[in-house]
Amino acid sequence: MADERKKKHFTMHVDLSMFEPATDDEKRQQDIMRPSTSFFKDGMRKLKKDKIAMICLVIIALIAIIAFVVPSFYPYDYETTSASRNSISSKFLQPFEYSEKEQAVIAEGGSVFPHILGTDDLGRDYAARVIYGTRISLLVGIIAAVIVVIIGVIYGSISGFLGGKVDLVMMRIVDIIYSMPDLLIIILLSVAMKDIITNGPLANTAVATLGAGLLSIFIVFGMLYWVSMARLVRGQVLSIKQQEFVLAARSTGAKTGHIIRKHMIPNSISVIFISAALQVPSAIFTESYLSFLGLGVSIPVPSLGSLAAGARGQLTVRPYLLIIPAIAIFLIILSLNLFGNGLRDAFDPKLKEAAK
Amino acid sequence: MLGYIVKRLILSVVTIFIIITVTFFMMHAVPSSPFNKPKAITPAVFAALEAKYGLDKPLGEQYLVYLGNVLQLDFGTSIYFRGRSVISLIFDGLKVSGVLGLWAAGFALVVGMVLGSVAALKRDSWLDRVILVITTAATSLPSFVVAVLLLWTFGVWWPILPTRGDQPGGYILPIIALALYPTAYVTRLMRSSMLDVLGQDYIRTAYAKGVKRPGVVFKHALKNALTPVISYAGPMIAYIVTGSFVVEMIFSMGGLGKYFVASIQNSDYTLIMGTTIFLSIIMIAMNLICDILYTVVDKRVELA
Repeated sequence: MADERKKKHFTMHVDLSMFEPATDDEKRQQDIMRPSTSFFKDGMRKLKKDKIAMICLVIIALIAIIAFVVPSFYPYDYETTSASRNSISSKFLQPFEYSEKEQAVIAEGGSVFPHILGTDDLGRDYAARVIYGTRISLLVGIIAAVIVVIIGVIYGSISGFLGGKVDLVMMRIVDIIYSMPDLLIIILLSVAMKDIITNGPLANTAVATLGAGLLSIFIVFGMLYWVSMARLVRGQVLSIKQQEFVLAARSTGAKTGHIIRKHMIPNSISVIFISAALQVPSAIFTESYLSFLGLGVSIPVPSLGSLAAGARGQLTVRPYLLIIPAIAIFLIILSLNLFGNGLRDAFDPKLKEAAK
Repeated sequence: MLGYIVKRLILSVVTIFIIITVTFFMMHAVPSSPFNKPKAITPAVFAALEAKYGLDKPLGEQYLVYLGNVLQLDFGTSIYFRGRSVISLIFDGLKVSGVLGLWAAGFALVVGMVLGSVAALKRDSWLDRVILVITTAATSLPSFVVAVLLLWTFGVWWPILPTRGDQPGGYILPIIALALYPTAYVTRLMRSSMLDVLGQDYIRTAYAKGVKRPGVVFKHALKNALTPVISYAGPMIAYIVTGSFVVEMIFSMGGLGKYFVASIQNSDYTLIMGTTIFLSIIMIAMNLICDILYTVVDKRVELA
């Protein structure tokens, strides 16, 4: 016995007879219960479970489809007035009412597409105007959010990465812009722009048809609204820089490029995306407000805000002229807000309290 | 603390200076002049009027003169409202807008805090759900839509309330229209921060020491739950000031909003500058006060 032990001096003295093979049941405990999930997949799974967010997504998709697809085959457009259709009696038609001329066509056996929502003070088909106005409002929201993301991300990440004096100066500038009364500046700017664009060298160009109000909204978003995005991105960059997993990656020899690609971007993209999603309704809000004051889109292009403003005089006789665009604004903003919240809950539970 | 306040004050002065500069040059970039708006006048009269208001001088000089006047708190006289000083016009407007804004802000804070606390304390009850649904809906409606719908409901459909601001009780509808969004927002803020606070360890400690529920809610939870609401008060004032522009317009009230919009439409340079500076100072001052209050209520907050 003693000899035998000496022979195996450098072995581990494993006696196979003391072990028994694992049963199938025990083996199954080692199985991976679900496939490893990526951050994105996990977020999507949570999002899909969120009923309210999914309903809102469907509503947004429906509204977007109606706004962007329907005008291409809808028989009426937003600017053809009764004057150009040569029938005075098509002003202020009730929903599904036909003008005298259209009745004559029907009497002769022809078919006329009904004015689903009637017509407005100039005899323009109201349904077409509401659909087109929705398109304008959605476009404003999306373009504004894109502008905010581009400027905010670039500014915030530079400030966060460089740090030190550069960061200090850049953040002071942000502080100053942050405390500016944005709507006052938007109102002033849209008046200034309106005059410059309609009378200046840009008159009768594509810029002029887009409208001074719209353009000034974009400029103001580019000038003022990016600051909260810049702050957010800077905060993200600063905090991720100090996280243990970045240190761990560095200590295992990861290059800076790898850290940026694999850690910085995936960890901050959700915050940026969520904040951008919540920016869309706020831009739509601002646009409708300006259009209501008569500073938004230029005539005859409709937006939901200008439609609501135009219907104010008809409130006692035809309240639906106001209620329909109001419901459209309400639905868009409500579903975008709720979807944005769902997105936030799914992708960044930490942010739930932090984002005001 | 003092150092922080001084730093913020300096920053505020810089901000106001930038606002003055931006507004001044933006205003003068508009080709129209305050004198050709109502009807065309002869060039001689035009030149005389320009000289009277110092508009014939080079822009840089006008700017320096204006800055000098502002430093002496002289905001000049309005060009459109002949013979009225800008200060007196602003105070005229403030009599309406100030009352409207204070009522709306007070309503939003009080009602919002009560509803938010109730919703948090009765979490997941039917009351909580109803409050959540209503506030979510209310934060998705622009103030002008609310104002017009209120006007239609109580002025046309069920005429029980006056619809013009100058009638007795005429402030009720404008205040509701203006306060709806901030009320809903404060309610949601208060609910989530109250829920957060109620889950903290010190609340459990308080219960463990034998403090009764009202004592815990009023003495421990409420004070700490207030901080997010206070930090929202700054943006809320900004919302109420600009929101009141349309609400005043819809309910035909002659407040600051009316003067601001009129001054822009008439290119009334001095009044544009006066109202912009005045409103900016209000918003910036409110933000500063809120930030300071924030630390008074919550000792954990460190001033950067």
